[in-house]
Amino acid sequence: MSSKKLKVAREDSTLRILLRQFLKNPAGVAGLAIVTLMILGAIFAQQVTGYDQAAFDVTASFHSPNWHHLMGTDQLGSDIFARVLYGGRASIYIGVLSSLLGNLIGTFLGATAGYIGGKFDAILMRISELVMTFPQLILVLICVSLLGQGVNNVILIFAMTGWMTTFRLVRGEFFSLREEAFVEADRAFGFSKSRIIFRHMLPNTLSPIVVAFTVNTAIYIIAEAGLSFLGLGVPITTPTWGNLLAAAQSPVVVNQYWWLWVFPAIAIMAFVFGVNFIGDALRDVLDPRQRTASIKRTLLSKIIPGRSSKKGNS
Amino acid sequence: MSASNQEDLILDLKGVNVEFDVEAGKLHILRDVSLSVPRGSFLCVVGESGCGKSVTAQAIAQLLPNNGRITSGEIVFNVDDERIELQSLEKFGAKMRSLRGAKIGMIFQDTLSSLNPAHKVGRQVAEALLQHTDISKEEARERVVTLFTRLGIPDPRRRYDAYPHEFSGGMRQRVMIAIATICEPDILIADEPTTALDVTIQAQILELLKDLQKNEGRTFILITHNMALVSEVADHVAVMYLGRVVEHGTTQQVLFDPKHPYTRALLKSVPALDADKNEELKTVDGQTPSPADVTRGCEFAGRCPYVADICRGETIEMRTLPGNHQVRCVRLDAQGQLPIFQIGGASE
Amino acid sequence: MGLAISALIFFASRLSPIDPINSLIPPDSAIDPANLAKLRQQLGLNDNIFIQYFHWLKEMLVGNFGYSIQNGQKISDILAQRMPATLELVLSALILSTLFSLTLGLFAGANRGGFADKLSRVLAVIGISVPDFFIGIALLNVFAYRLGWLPTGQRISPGETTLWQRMPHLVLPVATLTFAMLAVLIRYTRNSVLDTLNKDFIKTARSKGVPEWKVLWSHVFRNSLGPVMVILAFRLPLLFGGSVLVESVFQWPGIGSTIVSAVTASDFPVIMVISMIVATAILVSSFMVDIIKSILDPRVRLGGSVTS
Repeated sequence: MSSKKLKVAREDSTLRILLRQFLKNPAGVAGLAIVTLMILGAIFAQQVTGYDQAAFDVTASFHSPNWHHLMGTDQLGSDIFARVLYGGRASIYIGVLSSLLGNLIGTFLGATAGYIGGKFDAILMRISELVMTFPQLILVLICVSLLGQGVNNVILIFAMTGWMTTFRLVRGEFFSLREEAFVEADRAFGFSKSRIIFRHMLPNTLSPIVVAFTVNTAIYIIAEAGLSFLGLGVPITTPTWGNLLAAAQSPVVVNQYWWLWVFPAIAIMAFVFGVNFIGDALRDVLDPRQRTASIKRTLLSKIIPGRSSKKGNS
Repeated sequence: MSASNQEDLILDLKGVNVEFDVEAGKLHILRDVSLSVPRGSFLCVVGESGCGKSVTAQAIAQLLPNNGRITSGEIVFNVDDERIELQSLEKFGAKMRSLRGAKIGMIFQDTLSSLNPAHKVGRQVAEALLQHTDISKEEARERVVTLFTRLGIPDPRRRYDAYPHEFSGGMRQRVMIAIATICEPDILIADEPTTALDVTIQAQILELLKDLQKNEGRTFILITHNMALVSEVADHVAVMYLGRVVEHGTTQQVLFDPKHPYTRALLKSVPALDADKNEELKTVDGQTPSPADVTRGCEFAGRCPYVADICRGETIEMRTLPGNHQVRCVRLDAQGQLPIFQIGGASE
Repeated sequence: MGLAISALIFFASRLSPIDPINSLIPPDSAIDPANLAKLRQQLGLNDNIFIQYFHWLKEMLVGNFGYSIQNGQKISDILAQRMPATLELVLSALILSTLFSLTLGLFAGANRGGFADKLSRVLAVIGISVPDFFIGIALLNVFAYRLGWLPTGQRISPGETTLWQRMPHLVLPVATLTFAMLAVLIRYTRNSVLDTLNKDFIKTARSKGVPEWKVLWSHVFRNSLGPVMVILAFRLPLLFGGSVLVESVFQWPGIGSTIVSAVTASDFPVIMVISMIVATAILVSSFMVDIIKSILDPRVRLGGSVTS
């Protein structure tokens, strides 16, 4: 009997609980499925379609979708399906890494600013305000003009222009956490600042950061699409979804060869949908406040008549 | 549970039941509430928070929130020689709206949140007037200013153009009273109008209300949890507990000869100015249960010092004692007296 | 703030290998090496970089924007040509999106579960997932190419002179840009309306017997506007960013496409000027939104307590 009890205790780690809850959320599961599918497709592009994305066959140019080429061919006869899948690599890579990098910067800055406060914080706030009020796209364009194009440059630029939201998020959390008792206890114990910040306080803010990560990934994928559409993102040598969409700049293409741009667009939308679903599900699962809030709501609604049990529906 | 037929009742609630839809199901908030209000009288409805007194007021004016509804009973409103069944009117229909403001006035508790912060105060009062009478804006303005003077708002002409946040609490309440009375309604329902005010201001406002009743013959229903207020202004008192009226009579009857155990406990727990400071403040034992929990028998059974098996059986009926003093207690004997002994608790 | 950005760009541009003198003098003035050196001295190109910056700033304030590296045009001319186009687009989109979102948001909030509510939810989802410019392309495809109802881009077709005649060109780009703003604005309006509906003074209004439409309009709507204005101010930058993409899709000859070609060609003078302009525009519009907000909320106006 006692060995059974031990087993149960060990199995129910937080991660497992969260995972289980996440899997109960239909939107989350759907999102996860879509995203995983697409990532796999991107990695195994060649195997899935049977074509190399760079291969071209001019005799087969501009074929509309058919059994040989499920998504048709482009000007050079390259298979669109292969290009779309392969393009996913760069796009997803950019999206994920920009979000990651931006989040890291924002978290680091936000944590320190939130904890230390004072001038350091004030300066950072000023900077973030400055950058936030400027149209992001134009800012990105300016950076591109200064730094040049390319996958890594784009990631860098996105991270540099987008860290602010995470920064403010983490900073806000830290401001409220600062007052908590366990922080005072840590200080009393004589822990170094960085230890307090990173090993004690940060884990408590993890959930909004994770959610922000997913949201930002979606945002950056769309941003890359826009940038490459303008021809200022990733050069055409490396296909990305945005690149492929750029074909739609030509009116002829828009009119006659719809498959050139519709499929990349669908790919973007599908992936972004999936990521958003995951983000929503994560938010529901991870945010302890939301959970206790809904418990509170049910209790209150039982006690106080007339008090609507659904507060502030979005 | 209606009064004698000779009385001119302006409002007569008969067996009103109100339910609320909540996440967990339905909450039965008002249970079989019956109240008869003679014209020109001042009724105080008292009880703890959550006993349903505000909901009663809302039900009368048909201003229940979206998830609430009157499931049975009648609310008869006799005005202008007309007998209107309020519960049968459409909530925002023309008929009901013609009554609200014009015949039924309402005064709310939280004056700062009950006034539109973006509109001038005078306009908010005039809005009620212009809704129900066909006069010009200038004429309305004049009447509002006159009313302001009457209600003791200084510098009324300038104050007409002021915003709610520029007033003090007491002044705001006067504005609310202005809104409620500008159309000279027959009945006024005030939901804890003085709870948020200082004691001195409280007294002023109460005097104002009493004055309006006496001089203008209006009927008042005042909802409060403050027993001390009741003695100052009320002609009649109705005591509510968990959605039911447990005692109803004249102020004299209820305050000086309370019959229901809950009423007695309530009165005893009011700190009197001349009470012995060293004596423990008497409280009502236990906590108010949630409306979702009580279904059978007397709602007060769990906390009543006189409880017996018979109390947990069927729903207790209202009993009428001489002098039209109504009590809902099954422990009263033929003469309307409670037993001398009690179960546990301090002695009387 | 714009200063900071322009400073940054200025310094960075000096790092580029392109000789700045090309942007400071008309391209067709005959240059021989001797004169060139003298001109350099005159224009202060040999001075300390900070001095150069202030010099440039001074010129900007006067209105001397310099010359574009790409084609040697006076930048002020370029601006004069292209500003109106962008303004048309941005202002129309701003007005339309505000109007639409306010009405839709109002109805969505007032009738929970009604048509407006469902529509706003759908729009919100679309707004997050679909790249704005794609909507533009899709619209182009359907309305311009397939159905031929509307012109396929550009601002003018031959023979059109008045605004009225040009209207069809405006429709799709403005629609696209409006849509981009709509999704978010509707949601915020709806939430603001819902919040207001729960407030106590609505109960008071109803207790006066005021008809529901008046309650909605005079009380609910009036008080929901405030928070929406704040969000609007925050969204303004997006409007400008969005116009860049829309101009590209529809070949709209505005500032947006100017900056795109400027970036492609590393035409720094143009980039700097346009960024300054954009920064100023945003400052001005946020300022105006602040003013509108204070008109709406008397508490802010009179400096009284802002606690509700």
